[in-house]
Amino acid sequence: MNNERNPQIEQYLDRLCEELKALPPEVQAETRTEIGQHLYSLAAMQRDPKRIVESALRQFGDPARVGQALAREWEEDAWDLSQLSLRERLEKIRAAIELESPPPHPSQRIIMGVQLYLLFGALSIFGAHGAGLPPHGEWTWLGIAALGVYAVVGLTSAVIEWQRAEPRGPLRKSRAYSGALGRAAASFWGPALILSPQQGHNVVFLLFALTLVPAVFNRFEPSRRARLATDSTMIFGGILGMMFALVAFVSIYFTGVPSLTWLLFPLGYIANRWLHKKPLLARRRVAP
Amino acid sequence: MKTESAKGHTATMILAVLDSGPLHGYAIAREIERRSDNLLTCQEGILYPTLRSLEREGLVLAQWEIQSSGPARKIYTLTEAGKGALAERTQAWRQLQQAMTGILGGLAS
Repeated sequence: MNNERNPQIEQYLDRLCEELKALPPEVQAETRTEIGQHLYSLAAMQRDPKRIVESALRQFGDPARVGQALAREWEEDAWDLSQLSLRERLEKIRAAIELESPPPHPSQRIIMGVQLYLLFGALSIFGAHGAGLPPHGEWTWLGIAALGVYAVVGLTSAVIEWQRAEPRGPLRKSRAYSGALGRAAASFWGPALILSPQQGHNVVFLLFALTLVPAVFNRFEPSRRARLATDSTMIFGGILGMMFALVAFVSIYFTGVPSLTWLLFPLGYIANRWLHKKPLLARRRVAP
Repeated sequence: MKTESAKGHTATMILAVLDSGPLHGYAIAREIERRSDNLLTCQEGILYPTLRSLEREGLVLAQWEIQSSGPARKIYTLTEAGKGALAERTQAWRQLQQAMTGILGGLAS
């Protein structure tokens, strides 16, 4: 085995180690070294010089699956929080949530960006309506149309999530189905809240409860990591919900909601930027 | 006979190979191939989760060893508990083999 690094093997190891990132750094480093040695040895003994690396990697198997299997084996020891400091526990919880929330499909990212613009755009329109636009004017219909499109693209995202279930896609069935259900419910509770702030509350609460179904599904996952992530998400979600309720109460009591909704449009842009790590309409860079 | 037939027996094959002496992961894979005349091959990535599982059960011991030439390698050694587990699995396998021979032999005649 020579000391030259092969980009394909290193890429394979990177992918495998992505699945291990919640494990202690020394475990990750040792695993990478050990499997790297195996792969370089395997590549060195291949007969076909043109396909040395490809056949070695094929012989070793899918990097994500190998990484997941290894992570599961280490998991029982790795996700025990009892001996950790508060900071280490929070770090571990963050890692668990991150690992249990695989990145959305690229088209779902675009859909989420579009939804944010539509939702906050509609909120701005209805905020302006409350501030003086004529009732049932063209702006109102534009707002309703925006919310309709919001719901439709949200359902599309739910269908994509459903299709990501194994064996066709990268998600466990329970997670994909519960994710799809959550996305479908979320497609309706936003518009329902905006369009029917008085009578729609019951519908909103029902749909919001549906978005919690994924958490209940995940609660029955056998893995300690999944349970940790689900419990923590529900606790954080509860705290965030209470904060929202407080802000809404203060805003309605002192100023009235409509006058504040204009502020939500820039918030939509910021959220979108955070989601994509760059603006949705950023100019694409062309590779040299 | 390829992966499917060997599935589920990887742990037993690893224990059997390590019974002859300590080895690293790559050498375990090659030894399984050699002993089976290349009839048994598996996706080699499976080896490491299985080795980790055996290590957790206390059936193998993993240690990094500095080599006389080249970098340190992780070497797996069969423990006493591993030897006991191998004896049990070998016994169970022989019983299954006998039963299958009886069934298939009967069909052949």
